[in-house]
Amino acid sequence: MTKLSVDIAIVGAGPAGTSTAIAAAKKGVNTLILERKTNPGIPVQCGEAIGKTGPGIAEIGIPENCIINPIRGFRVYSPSGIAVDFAKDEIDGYIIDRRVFDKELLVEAVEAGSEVLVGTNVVDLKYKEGTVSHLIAKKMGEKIEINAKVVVGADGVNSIVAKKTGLRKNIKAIDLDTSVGYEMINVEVDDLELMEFYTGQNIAPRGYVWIFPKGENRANVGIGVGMQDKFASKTAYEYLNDFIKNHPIGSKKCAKGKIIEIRIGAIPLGGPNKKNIADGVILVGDAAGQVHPITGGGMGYSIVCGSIAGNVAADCINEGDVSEKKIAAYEEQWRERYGYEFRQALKLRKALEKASDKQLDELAKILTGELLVGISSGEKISKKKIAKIIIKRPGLWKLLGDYLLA
Amino acid sequence: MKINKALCGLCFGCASVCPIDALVADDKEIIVTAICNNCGVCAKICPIGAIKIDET
Repeated sequence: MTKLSVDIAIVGAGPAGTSTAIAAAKKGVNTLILERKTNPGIPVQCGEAIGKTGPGIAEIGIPENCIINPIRGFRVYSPSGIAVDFAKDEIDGYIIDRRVFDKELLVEAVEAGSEVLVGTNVVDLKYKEGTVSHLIAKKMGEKIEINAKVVVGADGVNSIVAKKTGLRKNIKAIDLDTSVGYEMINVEVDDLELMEFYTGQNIAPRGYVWIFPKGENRANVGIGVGMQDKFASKTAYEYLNDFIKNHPIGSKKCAKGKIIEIRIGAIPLGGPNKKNIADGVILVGDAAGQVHPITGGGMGYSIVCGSIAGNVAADCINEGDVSEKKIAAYEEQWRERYGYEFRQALKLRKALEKASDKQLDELAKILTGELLVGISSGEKISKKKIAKIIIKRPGLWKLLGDYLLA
Repeated sequence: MKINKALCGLCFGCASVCPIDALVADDKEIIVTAICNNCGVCAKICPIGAIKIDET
């Protein structure tokens, strides 16, 4: 059996794992990425939208060759078709090619000095004196053992590291959104620089349909919905097909659409795990629950949190102390940055889950794009402004009052 | 329960919500282990309806 020994072993070569590896390798620690897939980044399980300024991606830099279409904002359609727009004067984000994006970040990690094993599935963690000491993996079928000072679980929604360390045993089904997306040709869009969102209890319960323009007549059209019985009454696939066939606006836009790719995904929307660290262990990305509970966006957060994780892990290794107490610097830094936003968004989502179509329509009449952005991130001024408007509307106040006052 | 492999997109949502870790992610597929008690929660989050619960 092959035995390896490294400073930091990162499970998963998605954006969370590779950004961790880039930061760690740049600090000179011995870094290894383990990726289950033989072709990292494939299949794409994503709508491929990433904010430029939103979660602070600007400081990382998006590889230029993965940018498909620059975006300035969004348009949200209420159930009856009322549009709420938000657009900046300058570019605010991109629709990217995830295959290229993931691959480029991996290239950057390896060029920074990280090692990588693809086709390598981590199946177990071994403990020694209460702390994780070894990873057991199968590399193209062959059993290997990896000794690491720090193990980083960047292994996604079904994180083995999270499960085996007990940091997240399983995800509650009500906290998972289930997603299907098509890449389509011959789709009409309102504006090449606007992402479109469609809401409604019969359109996408506890979620939304998105149309993300990738160019003239080319777009990602996808959906995320809550679990069946509790929120949804059929599969995400059926809701999406319904939207394309029957939605008053969507069906016109997609009438001539040809599907060139089907994407299937699961999005953890329940907010961050209570704890994402242990002695010699860090969780990052979907494994950590670092996903916006309303938008379902995760890439930007993953990259920033991954960078923090890589830096902290490297410092701990260099200083010879990988105890939970020392690693806590990671938890403190990323929560300082996104903790409040995630908590607020989770509260708002739980309120919005109960909104009727009529209430969503009423909200669309009241809200501007700026207020919508503000309220989703928990910005206090926006909450105050909205509270002033809806205090005279008992139905909406009952729905959102608690959130707006908190 | 059974997973229709022709439909499964390997999103691992089912394995992530399984309360008893009965579903295991292998290299290229999800394996239903013997401890599965057919509770059905996985079927409710499958985006594409690839999971069928055994009739009792």
